[in-house]
Amino acid sequence: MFSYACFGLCLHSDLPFPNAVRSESDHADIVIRAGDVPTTLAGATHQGVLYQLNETALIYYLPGLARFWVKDGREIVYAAPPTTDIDTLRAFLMVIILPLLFHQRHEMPIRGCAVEIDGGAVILTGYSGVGKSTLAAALHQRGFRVLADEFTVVRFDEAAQQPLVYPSFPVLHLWRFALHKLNYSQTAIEQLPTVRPGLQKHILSMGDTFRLEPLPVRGIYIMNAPMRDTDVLVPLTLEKSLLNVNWILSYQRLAIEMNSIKHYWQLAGHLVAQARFWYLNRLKQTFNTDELIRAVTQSVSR
Amino acid sequence: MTQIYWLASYPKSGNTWMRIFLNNYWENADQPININELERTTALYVRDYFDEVLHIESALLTYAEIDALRPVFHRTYTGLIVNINGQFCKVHDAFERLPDGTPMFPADATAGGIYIVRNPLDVVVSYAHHNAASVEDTIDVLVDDTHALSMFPNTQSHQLHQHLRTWSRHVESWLEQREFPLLVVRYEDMLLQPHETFAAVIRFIQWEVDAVRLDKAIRFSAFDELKQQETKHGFHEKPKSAESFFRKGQAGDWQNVLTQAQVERIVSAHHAIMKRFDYLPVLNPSINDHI
Repeated sequence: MFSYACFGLCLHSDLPFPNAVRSESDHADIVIRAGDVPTTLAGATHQGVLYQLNETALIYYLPGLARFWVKDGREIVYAAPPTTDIDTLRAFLMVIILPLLFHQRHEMPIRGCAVEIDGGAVILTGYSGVGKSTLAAALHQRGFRVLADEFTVVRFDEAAQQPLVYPSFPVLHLWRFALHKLNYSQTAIEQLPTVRPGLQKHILSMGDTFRLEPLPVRGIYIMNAPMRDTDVLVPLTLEKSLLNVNWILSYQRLAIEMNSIKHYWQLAGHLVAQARFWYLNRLKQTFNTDELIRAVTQSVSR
Repeated sequence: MTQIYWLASYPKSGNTWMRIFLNNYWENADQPININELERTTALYVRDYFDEVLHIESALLTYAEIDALRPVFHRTYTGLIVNINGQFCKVHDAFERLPDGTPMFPADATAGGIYIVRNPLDVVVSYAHHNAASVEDTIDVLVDDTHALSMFPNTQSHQLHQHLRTWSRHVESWLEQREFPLLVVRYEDMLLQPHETFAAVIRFIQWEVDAVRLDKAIRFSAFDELKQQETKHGFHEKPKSAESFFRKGQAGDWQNVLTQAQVERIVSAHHAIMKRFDYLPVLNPSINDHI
């Protein structure tokens, strides 16, 4: 078993996560291991094309690729045919299965990435493909630390009831096109591993800049690419923040079926009360990086 | 469970016009509907819908893996339609099947299909403007059996990839399928005989034909109205390469644009389907000889 520190927890896994921060702890909060995964979940209350679940267990299928059994927010068992490579398993674990495990733990997996600005955490959220990771990478190039990609875990400090981002893995997943836009050379890109074989999405390591300390949430930026010209940055009222807080949750419809949404809403109320929500509007046809970075950094400083 | 009516066509063949007409007919309002708020029709090739409905991250999937999930996606989507009396989904794919023969657009998810066909001579001109491409290159596209939309392997489009095939194959694939009933509509008939043509559409989808409502929906969907709205407010479906989405809205504009040689290439490549839809131009005898 490999032992890693991530999300403020200790993860033990028989599958290596090469970029993750190693841990010496013998105590595992989360275990990932190969094993038998049943085809039917006993006591399932909901099912879809790719899953069966109840409040404490979930089976997720990727036809022809793998099956995952997530239990009690503590264990993920995976089964895959020999044709499925480790990178593919790891990619689905990091992007789909782990957020679902955090729902079982009644925590807040928010879709999107997080970056440290001015000693606090800024969460970049929005729909798939809007440019969250690209903006995080651009901030990283300017010296800001990346805390999480794909999804961000927010947990409340019990004493101060302060929302904190717990850093995950020191990597960003970036399409080749985005890397070119960020001025990475063709040679440099060729040397980066891909998320999965055959996919031109690469793993960019954050290297030594990564830290595991949790940071207070300073702002939540919901990225959009609106059709009409509009202000880059639009503050959300409390009411609009509450309307958006459900949408920013990873796999929120599954959270409803898992009955973990009630825990999320309790936490989300605190989140809205303590963190500022913004719309961050990029241009529809191009990625106005400098303008977006200026808008985010200046608003955090204010 | 509400089943889907597929609004299928090769690009630049009147699909958007049909969607706007259906929205206007449904709304039956006193003014034209906003072309940026076509709430009664949708497009299931939008990546977010696929991800939300299946609870998956399509950005991690290969093209073949996405294709394999599309039939179940369409089927699952029908179980989620609750708010309207009929669901109309725009589609530019050819009628594709998975390697095991499963249709991409399954019969049990489908109420029917409306296939809109347009003279490829005009499609070439319009598609060239749409993509800011040359006419020559666009003629090549219409005979490219691998032609697809949103197939960008080095980045993530907000649309899923869509297999178009050649123009002729696109038309044939929809006409040959026997999975569900299909109404074939010619773009030129929408233009020249709008009342008869759109009334046939309304009957096909089993709505009641109301003459006043029909006339109003046709007027509210007329080219001048669409062009005016786009000029004033923009149209979010316009690609960044195109100057405008609604350009001329005519039949026969190819005569002002295409050279004799270009016409010959198109006719030569698509002769059988063009003949079937009465699209063959009057050519000089030497051309007819070698076709």
